[in-house]
Amino acid sequence: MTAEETYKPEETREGRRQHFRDGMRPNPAPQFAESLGETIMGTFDVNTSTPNSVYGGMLIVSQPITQQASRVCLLPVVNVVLNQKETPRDKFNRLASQWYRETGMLSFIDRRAAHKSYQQIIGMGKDALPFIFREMENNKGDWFWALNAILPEEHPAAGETNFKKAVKLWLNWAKEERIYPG
Amino acid sequence: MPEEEIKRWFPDLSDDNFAITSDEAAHYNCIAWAGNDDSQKWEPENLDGRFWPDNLDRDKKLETFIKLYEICGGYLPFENENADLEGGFEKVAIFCTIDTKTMQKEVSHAARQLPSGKWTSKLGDFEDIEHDSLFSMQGVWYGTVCKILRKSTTAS
Repeated sequence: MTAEETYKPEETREGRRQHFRDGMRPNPAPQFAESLGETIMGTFDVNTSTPNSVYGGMLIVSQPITQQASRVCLLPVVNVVLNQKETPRDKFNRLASQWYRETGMLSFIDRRAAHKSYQQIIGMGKDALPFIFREMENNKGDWFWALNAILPEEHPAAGETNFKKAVKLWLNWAKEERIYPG
Repeated sequence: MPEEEIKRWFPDLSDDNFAITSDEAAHYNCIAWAGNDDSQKWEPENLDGRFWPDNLDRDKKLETFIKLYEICGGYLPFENENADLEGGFEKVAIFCTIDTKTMQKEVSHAARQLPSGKWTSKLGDFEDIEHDSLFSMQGVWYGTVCKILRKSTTAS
């Protein structure tokens, strides 16, 4: 069952209050809340939320256990995507921090690039480029896979096997092309 | 990366058996670091900013990495391979996980033994750490130790 199925913004305010009261007593279910953290992203719109949807810095999500009973999960609001207000910068920052956090200890780029956040950054296309180059300038992350995907025709660092030198070549190219700084 | 986060990834690490020994760095990886190179990434992917020897297969098979360490560091397999400190030798341990698509073993990490007998590992883009045993690096992320190599440190 996904968060989209369990979180019902159309519920009445009183209904949400009741879920909150019922759920908080027996089981806040933090593990389930954590597992929902991913799914809820992109489904929650702050513009239509009510005070009961966001409570004490936490998003409240009800999880039906049976037809009669629900428990309430609390998700940090920091994980919530405000769909209608997210700028490319915010989107990139959110995806990149999740990618760093969840793959930063891995050794090889093929595994890391398969992560959904990295793939979503690639999916941003050229909108992501200024932020990718910003990260490269700050010596953060490994973005060559994404650059190859977004700019398959460009090879400013072709044949360069040293990571730092390849970063420098790409940054020089981005500045010449006036892509970075944006 | 905070120590607490590292301990969360590797539950066998504790305050008295590991220490962070560098800043975060994205320009070299654990494979290079185990081979005493902190200037570049050693990685088979054919992509900008990776070092890989010519004529060496570009894959993550254990056999390929055994050849890599022989070519680039002079490390060799040895009889009765063990993780003990042996005078006159420097050891490298290669970790493997199972690729869930192919069900084949593939290299995931490497660590190098220090003259103290402790080990040093580079954690992806994060810091280098010193850890007392190889066991503490085993688990979800890096799998298990599947090969230990060594090279002589005495002048030939």
